[in-house]
Amino acid sequence: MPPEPPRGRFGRTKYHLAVARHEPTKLIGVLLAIVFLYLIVAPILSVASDAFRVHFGDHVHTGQEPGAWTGYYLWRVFRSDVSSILFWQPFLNTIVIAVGTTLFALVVGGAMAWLIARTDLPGRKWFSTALVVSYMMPSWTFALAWLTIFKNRRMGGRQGFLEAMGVQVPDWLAYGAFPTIVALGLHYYPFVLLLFGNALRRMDSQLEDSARVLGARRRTIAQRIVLPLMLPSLTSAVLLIFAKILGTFGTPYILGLPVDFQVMSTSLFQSIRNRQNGVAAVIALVVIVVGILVILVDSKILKEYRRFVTVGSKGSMDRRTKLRRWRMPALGLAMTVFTASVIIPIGVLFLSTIQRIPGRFELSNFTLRYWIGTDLDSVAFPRGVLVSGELYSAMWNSFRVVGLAAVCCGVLGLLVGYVVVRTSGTRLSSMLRQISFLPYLVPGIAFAAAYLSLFAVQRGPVPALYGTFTILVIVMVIGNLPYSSRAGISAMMQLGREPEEAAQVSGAGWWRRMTRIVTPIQKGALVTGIILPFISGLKELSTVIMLATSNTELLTTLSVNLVDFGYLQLANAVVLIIAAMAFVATYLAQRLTGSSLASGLQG
Amino acid sequence: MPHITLTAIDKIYDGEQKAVDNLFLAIPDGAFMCLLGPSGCGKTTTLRMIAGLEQPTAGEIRVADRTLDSVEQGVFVPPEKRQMGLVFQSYALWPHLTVQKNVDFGLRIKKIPSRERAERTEEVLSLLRIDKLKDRFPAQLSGGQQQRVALARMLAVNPSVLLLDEPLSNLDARLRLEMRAELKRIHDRWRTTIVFVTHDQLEAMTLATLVAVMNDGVLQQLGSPMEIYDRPANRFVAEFVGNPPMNYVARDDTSGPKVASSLVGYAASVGELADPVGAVGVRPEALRLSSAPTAVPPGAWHAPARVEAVLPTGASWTVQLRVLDGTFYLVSADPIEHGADDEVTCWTRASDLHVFDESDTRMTAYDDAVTASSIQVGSDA
Repeated sequence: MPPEPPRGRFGRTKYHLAVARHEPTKLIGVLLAIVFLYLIVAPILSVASDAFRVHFGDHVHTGQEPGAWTGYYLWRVFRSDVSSILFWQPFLNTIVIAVGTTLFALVVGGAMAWLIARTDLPGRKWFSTALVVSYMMPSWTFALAWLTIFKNRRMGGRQGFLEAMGVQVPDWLAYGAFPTIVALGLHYYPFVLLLFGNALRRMDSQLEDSARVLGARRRTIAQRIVLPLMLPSLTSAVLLIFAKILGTFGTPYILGLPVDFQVMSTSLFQSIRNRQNGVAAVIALVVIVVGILVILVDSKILKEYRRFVTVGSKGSMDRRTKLRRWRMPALGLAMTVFTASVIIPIGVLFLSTIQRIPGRFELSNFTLRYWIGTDLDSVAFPRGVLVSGELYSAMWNSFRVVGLAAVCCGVLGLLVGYVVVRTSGTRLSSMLRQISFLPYLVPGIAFAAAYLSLFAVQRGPVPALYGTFTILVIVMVIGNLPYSSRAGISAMMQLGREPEEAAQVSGAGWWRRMTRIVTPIQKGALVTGIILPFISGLKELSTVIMLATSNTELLTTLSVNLVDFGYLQLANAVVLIIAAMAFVATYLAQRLTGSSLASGLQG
Repeated sequence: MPHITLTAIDKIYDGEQKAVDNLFLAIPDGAFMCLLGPSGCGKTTTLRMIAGLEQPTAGEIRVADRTLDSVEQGVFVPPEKRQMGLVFQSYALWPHLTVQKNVDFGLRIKKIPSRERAERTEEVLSLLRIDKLKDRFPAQLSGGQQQRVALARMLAVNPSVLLLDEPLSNLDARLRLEMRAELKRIHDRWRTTIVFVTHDQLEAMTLATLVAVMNDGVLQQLGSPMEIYDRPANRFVAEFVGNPPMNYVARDDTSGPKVASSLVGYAASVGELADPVGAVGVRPEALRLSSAPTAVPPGAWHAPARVEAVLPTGASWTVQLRVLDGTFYLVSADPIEHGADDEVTCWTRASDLHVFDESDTRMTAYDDAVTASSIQVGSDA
């Protein structure tokens, strides 16, 4: 055997340094991991520590020094006189809302999915797009539309359509649990429609045929074959909606406030507004824990089902149930859902903005003053939205913040994908994959609370970021990171490392490989990776509501502030503008990238 | 003089066992060298380490008199500076560039003037007979054409070493034959050192001038294709190379104890071996059939057998035999006259046996003894 090579001093270290100098991938990966640890894990730890440390000003109640460890906030949230108001009632309400909305979405979305995917419903193709529209609108659009119709004398400002027509609207119909469930349900049923519809379409019809050949009747087939196969997608849709509702803010805030109907997210918001940071931290922790539990259950169920879910996919023949005499009623049903989820909300919102007194259909009552007027009888907003400075500055802020965040998302997503794929098989790769997925487990509003806890004051070299655009951009990027990095990883996986390695062997250095090979090939993925977060960012409210200040007003926060002031018409106008922008962006995205609506499920 | 030298190469991935274990390899200048082994044996890792895409955990890689990797001395030359060519199993053509631009890329990086570049590209494209496709994109090409572009791309830069990672495995049988001939032609004309990785032993036998068989990250045998075939160094090589695989019986075989002890006993006595024999192998084409024991040449090993199935392929005949209590396969170039259930005698020459010791290593003492005795006795024609 040839002799062992001579051993130099520190050879191994020198070797690794030499490799690292020519191969920055690992370095980038380590940097990303550190940044993510700081922006994802640190806020959660900070909010956790806030929950158990005495805050300044509370030392009177606790008898402990500020900063000391305490169970005071736990006690206050869970066992004190006010815990019913702070926690238990909102917790119960959240469960009621979540269960109600999920059921609503399941019934409506499930029925529509079946009609579109498995029957000869007229205009199926059109419905498959039209019925998803309500998901593209900001979630609290429906809440505003509801108020516009049902608002009664309990609240100040203009009355709703029904009151204007002389109908007495009871409180339970105008505010609280019932309208919240309907409004959220109308927003979230496309979720079920998309997930369940996809599963229905992909199911191998040979599976049904085999049962039929063996002599099973339709009912039996549906019960024993189809339903069990669809269960994973159904549970998945249900749990995802549940998790989303946990963190949703706009709708329960708008519809719950007048009757003091609180859910976890609004209670968290109130606590922070009242500067009860310790209490807020405890509630945020509960929201985070519940969110994590829900997602864990979802992934466990999916894992259980994965054993049989992949079977099939071949020979998915188009076999549709003939509706016969039920064809027209079914069409009517689908049209009703479309009307209720799209036409009525948008129509009502629009009407309310062009009427002096909502609900009165006389020519003299119509006006454009809420859009272009200059002499509105209000102090804070004397001008119509299109001529007031607020709209344009909020719009400009939204564009800046969301645009920058979206570009960061696209680039970061691909970068994460690049590192994960290039270093696949190493600990760095799997760590990066897991950290970037973490924000998925944390409902938006709790994440915002965590950010508030970490970035409200200066910490080391990091200045206090509260009230800056930076924190809005960061929270949007991080909130979207799970989707971005997953898209980036799958794009890079599809490409593989080999095209880049081929360039490397041909003599191209890292920078040239990135600019000449990787980026041009991933152009499409990059565009999609920017547009999708942009669309969902435009509509984002829960994460930014606590972090935006009057200097950093966004379109979404502006619309909620207008509701706070009681200027419903102006709020409606702003929401219509947001919805219009989201529509246009979605349409452009589809034209540009050919991506389907289903891939826009995020946000 | 060896062109590529691998010295004491180890490769350990995060928390896993060794992918390559203390590998020493010297590849002569101008060789057509094949790394052969089952999937996961470390052959692709070795190739990628030579290319610089993967870094050894220990050891040294040199090409000519240039050190490319030396973990111990802290030397690392990045892949882009190694001036090698690597053709991937997936071809890895750049989908956003035309055939011409794909081939052109390496030359551009070398900052070669455009006239020369065009000439060079033209030359390689026509060598591989794809000059008519130069304006197409990779997605518009068939698998065989993509393969040619991938080759052309690497040949254009005139690499000192051409590395091929399972280059033919994605082609259908006919194209594979064609590309094999193409590779041989290129090697004959260019005389570059080629290292290629395959799990297909037929590819290794037909193309390579030198074969390195690997298993579990350990080099099993290094030699010419015929050496590997005729004198496998151990049980792994013996069974991996050859199709159908070698008939192989071990002394402690439970599936055919009688035939095992017969062959082992025969080998021990013919080879006059002092050390115990562990196992004996015989290639299917070295087995013969006779109707009766009397027709067997003197001194040859023989045993009663029953024909279980005859499988003609057109060019040859494969026979499944029950020899005593074991199952053997026999391949014959001549037509087989026997049918199923015929009772026959199966025999083979002493020189056709491969004898291994108890640790499955070839007993060269046996080969020496048989060679010596056949010189004494004269060939048994």
